[in-house]
Amino acid sequence: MTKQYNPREMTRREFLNKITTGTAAVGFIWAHPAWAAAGVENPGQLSVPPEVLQKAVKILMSKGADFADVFVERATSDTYRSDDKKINTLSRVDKGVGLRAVKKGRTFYAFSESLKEKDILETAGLAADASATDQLEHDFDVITLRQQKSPLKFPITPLPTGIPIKKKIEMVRGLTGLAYSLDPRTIQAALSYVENYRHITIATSSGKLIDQVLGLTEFSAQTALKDKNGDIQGAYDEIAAYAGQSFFTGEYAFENIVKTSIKRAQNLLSGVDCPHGVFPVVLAPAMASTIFHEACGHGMEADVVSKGSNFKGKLGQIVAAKEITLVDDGTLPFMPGSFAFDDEGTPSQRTVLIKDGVLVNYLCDLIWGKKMGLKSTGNARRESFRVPPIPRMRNTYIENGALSHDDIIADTKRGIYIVMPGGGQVDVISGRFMMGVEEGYLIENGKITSPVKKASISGTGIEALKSIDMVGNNLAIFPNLGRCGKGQQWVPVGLGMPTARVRSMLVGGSGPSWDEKQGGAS
Amino acid sequence: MKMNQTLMNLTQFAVEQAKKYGADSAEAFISDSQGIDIEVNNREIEKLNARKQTGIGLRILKDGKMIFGSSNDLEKLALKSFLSDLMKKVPYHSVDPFNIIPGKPGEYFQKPWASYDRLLAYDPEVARVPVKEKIKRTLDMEKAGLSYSSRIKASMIIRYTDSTSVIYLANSSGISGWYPRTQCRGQVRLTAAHKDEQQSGRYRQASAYYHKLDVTEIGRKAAETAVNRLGAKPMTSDELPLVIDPVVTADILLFFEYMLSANEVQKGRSPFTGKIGTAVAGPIVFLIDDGKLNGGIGTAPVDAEGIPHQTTPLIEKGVLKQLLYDSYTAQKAKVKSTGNRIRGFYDQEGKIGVTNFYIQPGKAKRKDLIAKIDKGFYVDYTIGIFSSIDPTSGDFSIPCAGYMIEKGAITYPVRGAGISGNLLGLLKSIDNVADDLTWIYNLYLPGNPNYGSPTISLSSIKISGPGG
Repeated sequence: MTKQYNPREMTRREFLNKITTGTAAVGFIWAHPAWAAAGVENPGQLSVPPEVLQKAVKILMSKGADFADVFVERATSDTYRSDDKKINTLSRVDKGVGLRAVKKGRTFYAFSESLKEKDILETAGLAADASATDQLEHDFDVITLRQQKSPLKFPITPLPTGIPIKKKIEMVRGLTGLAYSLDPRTIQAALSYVENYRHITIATSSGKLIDQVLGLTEFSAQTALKDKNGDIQGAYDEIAAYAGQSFFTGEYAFENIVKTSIKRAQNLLSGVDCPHGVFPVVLAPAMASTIFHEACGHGMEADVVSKGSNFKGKLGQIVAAKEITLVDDGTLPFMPGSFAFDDEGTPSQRTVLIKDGVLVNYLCDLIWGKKMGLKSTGNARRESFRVPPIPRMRNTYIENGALSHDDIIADTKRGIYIVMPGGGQVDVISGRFMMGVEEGYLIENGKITSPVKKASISGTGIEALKSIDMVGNNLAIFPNLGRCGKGQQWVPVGLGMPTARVRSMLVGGSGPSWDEKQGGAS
Repeated sequence: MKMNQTLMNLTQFAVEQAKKYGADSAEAFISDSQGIDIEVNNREIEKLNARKQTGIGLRILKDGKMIFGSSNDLEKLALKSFLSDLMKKVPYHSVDPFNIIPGKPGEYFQKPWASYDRLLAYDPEVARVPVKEKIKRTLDMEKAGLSYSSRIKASMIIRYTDSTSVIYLANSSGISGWYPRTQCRGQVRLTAAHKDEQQSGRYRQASAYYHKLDVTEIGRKAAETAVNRLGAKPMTSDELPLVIDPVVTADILLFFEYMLSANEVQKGRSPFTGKIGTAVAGPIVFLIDDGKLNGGIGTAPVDAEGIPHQTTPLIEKGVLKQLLYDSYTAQKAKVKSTGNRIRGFYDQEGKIGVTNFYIQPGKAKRKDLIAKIDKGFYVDYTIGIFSSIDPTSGDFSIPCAGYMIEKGAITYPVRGAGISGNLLGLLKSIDNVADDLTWIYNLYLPGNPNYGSPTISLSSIKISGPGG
């Protein structure tokens, strides 16, 4: 079950994301003109009448299923892109219903892009029939659907529909100009600004009714520089949040994403060849925690645990240094892994996975949680109505420690400082990973010095967690767009950590050998 | 699946509406499809996903600017407001003088593409067969694998997928028509074990016809490879003649598809740039794309923009004769489109790609290719092939496994091998082609591209291995 982690690939995925404003957020409904003009979207009204949802649930349960749900989605995605200084847009309107019957842990699923009652009920019949093991009709009492409420709200201001198309194009043009003006060596700038809107309605056989409106705004910048010698280096940065443009100011400003992208390409041109060997690696706040997302987080997802991940059977055991508390939190305002309810209707929550080095929980949905005798932690997520939900991470981060960032760097005689890991390969079962470094620097005599190029790091998730010896007090969670792929489903996730030092890690590079015995941690 | 007059009319409606809103030309593409995915494990159904998808993709050209959008809300009112949204955006797009929605009124088609019946790429049974029977067939596929040998221990992937689609296309230049197509796919991956050793074997096959999909063969072939691989010895580095199984060639053909795309050649990103009319392969090699192949899963009367499919020889007797063109790249090169614009669903804008793309079979038998080799390597299994080839340069280094050939016969399985070189070099060193053309669909591509190859042999290739 080796998966590719490639941030560049992820961002080409235009569509498909997740946020929720909760039912109380009806005031924020962002009716796309394509809906509004057609009169098909009345704010505050369900996409499909509750009676139809009820009938569909009844049909799904009619052949002896243990659980059933109906997931209705209306979505739009508007992309404004500039590549090679050429402007392009992409518009998409999407809708449909996913119907699921779960029997003895097996999933029988069907979806239809038509929201007509006849099509919904027919499609429900397909899933139900497939679940039948006998000829009997099973009674299922008509349930009363009760609308669920959440205190979580992520207002979208200003509403994207309120911003003239011209202004959005001008913004993308301006940012393209910035990319070329920052460095005369710029030969390519591909920028993408995307507004996503989703209206989701869920009805379950346990009587839950969820209605939520979701709006994710994304921006990404891919740039390439070419120096005098003809050497070309490309780099990347991106941001995404369940918020409108007003969120993207200060450190979250789109300008900063362009600047970071250019800086990373500059670093790769001017960087020194990374030393190799086993030595200390200091991880920067925020995005460096990608390593733990890939090599640890996936191994704690209930379905991966069941397949025998290296966290299987380890509840209550030490899996990390005692300074480590690892959290998966779906309640952080605006973050790309947040939502009011997960895709089975379970309220989102803050789930502690590792407490002071001890594994205390897994990431569960209803189905895999039940198989393992655990409660859902609100981690059931799906890319769209076309696929059933599976256990997924939300915003995953390492909690603060006691040390200052400066002290950690000053205490490190020799090592590398990783701001942003790059593409690589991870086996989520064993937690073994090999990743490139998109942005990294040397640490020499307790100071961050030259940028490095062609670096890679490898090891296993548990090894890395256990060999962390210093944790900073500067936790940062960045609203990164890095969509996480699993089973060919892509969902947006948040990542975070404070500065932390891994005492020793295998680093690959074409620079000199840095044996840990000759330097490193003092 | 029957032709739906409402959907046909809707493509016309969208085109007319776009013209009313000021478009210079417009194109509407509707795909109406249904299908099912079934996965079984350990003799029971594990997962089922039934699909119903209908939507429209629109291309609008105004003042040399092209815009694309897709929607599955087919209410006329919703479609009108979607079109007007596209019209508001198109003025901001960049001008490209080669943008084109092809066709002159009456030039291509006056009536639906009915002659298509003769191409045998549609089987009404695919939609008609009940789900229960398809589940049983998927279980039979697993059974064929598990019962092959007592050494087969577990099934990893047993998957059946099918789709029935009707495509409707209309544009403002007079192209208009519809056609149905079907596809069934079977995919098996199994594990064989003996003592402490485990080996996996896989096989896949697609057919336009429900009953022509040979589930027994898919299960058996996957099991056979897993069992044959038991006892594999580490490969020793060497430079040897190579025999390539069609399963491997099918994946390599994906890269030739990319390298032969006129778009890549025009941008100078293909190693075939500037090579038309020159020898690029061994004289025994014929590489063909045939959009009219009887019963092929890539077969259709027209391409994604309504240009008739044709039989296109790309390499003949080793000489590069032709590239794959759509209307845009053809206009740029001042040639005719070869009808190679492809798209899967309505939400894809389309790109250059192949239909039924294959190396023409020769006269030799597979065993003759092997019989000629005193010491060589037979490759039938690759790992991570898609990240092991650089499509711009053609350089490759592919981790793989297979069998040793000694004194004209396959002797024992080997593992941990790596073959490296350049794809153009590989084409040039093809010295024999067998008669056993085998069609394989691509696992990672939706839609219908179909790749075919016989067993081929190469005079020599660099092989690396842990055995020294």
